[in-house]
Amino acid sequence: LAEWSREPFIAASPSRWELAPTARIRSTIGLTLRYFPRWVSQRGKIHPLETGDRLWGLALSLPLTAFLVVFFVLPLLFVVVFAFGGYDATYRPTGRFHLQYFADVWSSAIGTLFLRTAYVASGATLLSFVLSYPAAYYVAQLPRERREFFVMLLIIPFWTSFLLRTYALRTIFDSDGLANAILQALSLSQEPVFDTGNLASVIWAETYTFMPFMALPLYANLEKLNRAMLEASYVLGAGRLRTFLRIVLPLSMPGVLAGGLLVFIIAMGELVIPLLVGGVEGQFLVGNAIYERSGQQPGQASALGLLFMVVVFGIAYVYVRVVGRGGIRF
Amino acid sequence: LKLGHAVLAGYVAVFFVALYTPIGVLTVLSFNAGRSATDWEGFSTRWFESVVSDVRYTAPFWNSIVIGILTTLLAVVLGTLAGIAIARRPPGRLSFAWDALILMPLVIPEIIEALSIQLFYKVAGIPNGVLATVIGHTVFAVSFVALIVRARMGDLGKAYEEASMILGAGRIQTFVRVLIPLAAPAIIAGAFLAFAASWDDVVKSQFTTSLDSRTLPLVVFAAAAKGRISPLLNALAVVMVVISLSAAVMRTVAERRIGRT
Repeated sequence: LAEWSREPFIAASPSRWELAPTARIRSTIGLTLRYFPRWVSQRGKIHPLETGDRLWGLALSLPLTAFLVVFFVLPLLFVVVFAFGGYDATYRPTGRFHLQYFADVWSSAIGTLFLRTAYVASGATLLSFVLSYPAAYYVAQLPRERREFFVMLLIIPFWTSFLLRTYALRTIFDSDGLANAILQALSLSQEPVFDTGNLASVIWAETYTFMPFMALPLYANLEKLNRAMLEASYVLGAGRLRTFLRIVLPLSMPGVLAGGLLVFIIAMGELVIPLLVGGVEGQFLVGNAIYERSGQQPGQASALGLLFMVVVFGIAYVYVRVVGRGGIRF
Repeated sequence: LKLGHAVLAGYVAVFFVALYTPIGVLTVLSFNAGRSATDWEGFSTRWFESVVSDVRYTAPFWNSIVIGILTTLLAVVLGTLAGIAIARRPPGRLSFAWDALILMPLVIPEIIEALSIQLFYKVAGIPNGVLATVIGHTVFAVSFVALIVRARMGDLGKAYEEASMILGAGRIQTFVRVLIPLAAPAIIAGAFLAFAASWDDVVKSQFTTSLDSRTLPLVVFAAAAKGRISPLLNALAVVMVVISLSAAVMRTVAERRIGRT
């Protein structure tokens, strides 16, 4: 393409028509393709010689863009159309829109559903923050070689199945699981202490499973922490606690923000962990409600899904605005 | 000051041990000779033998492998092309849109993605099965590949490409002989990530597999959700963990090579 579009410049305009027909067609195509992208975007800003380069870049990214538009963006639009009744439960277009599906899900204790899910998700977010912050802080101040090893230890659980990590938790903390068996063997307690199948076990399992999502951004941030700041704080007479609260924590807020957002969003939509350890009570969460309706009631599932997206990204937006802008001070 | 540091170090030790204990316990229990998931009755590999000889587990195993490999191939091709393309763009509105498009599959809750692709398949008349699952997995797997390749190529800059073209290579030749080899460690790391993501997936698979294309996680999930805990299930879980762990380790190795070159 680059070669084609170069031709007309060698053969100056008047003599272009004296070229052989094929060469003339080639140069016309070349010229069109060459100036077209410049014409559609940011007129005049790009040097003409870069347009071939731009076309090449577009060509390279076209397959993925097309793939994601067809199999990701388009399906998401279907959720919107289904939610407003554009298709019925037999997947046929209805040709009209209505709000019946929203009314259906609205009447089914939706407030409790969302509050409970938000409660579980924020519980898991807070716990994973509290539990992983010391670890991230400790690893970040190790010498480089040992740091790499610990970072690998943090990353590997990230890539082991969440399903299996949750399942493994259950073999330990079930009422007839290992933890209770050990307590009994040590005759510390004859009654089972641990049990799964309730809301608390969902929070703990999500905390455990999503911990890497919190620990890694925290670590990435704390690693860049300027040690001189700490020295300065100590020299100026602040104690360890004060230094932590006034210097370390505020400086690591971007990491806290990123990790918190990740864990919260993932925990809001989780449905596998509640199904495994939630019992009857713990399964009454938004993700599970969407899942239950997805087979027979695609319209209601889509309406719920749309509300869910609005709520999650609404919370995320407010959170980024408030915390990210320094709305919360320590 | 010393005491505080010791407490912190102790906590960190507990933290990392706790991170790995459940999987370790699972592995030990899968070698239990007895039926119980908690009482140790001697060492045995009988559960692994039943796993590898029972078609109820071998068929899903091969389904998972096939889906994982096809997903990896598709994600690597699409993600590498786009990753290289995005890295060589100056920042602007279009590259921001691409970034958003590539990050979105990782940010949107998976249940929404799974629901949306189910609606799309049903309306478009695409039947559930291996191909449907591969496409579903590729949507998120491709993001990993594209992001890693983009980061790698962004670090390198355009100098290699320009040198190659000045020395007379065409665009395609430059792409195949200069850009792809430069991106290779990132592509390999991305490939293992893509495979691991596909191998572990539950939700998308649940929505897109047919009865005879069920994957291994779905078998574990179905049994575990019914409340059954058995050494057999443990053995199955260990097989899964071993494969995803090897993918994770190989990815780390590949990523270290990026650091070195």
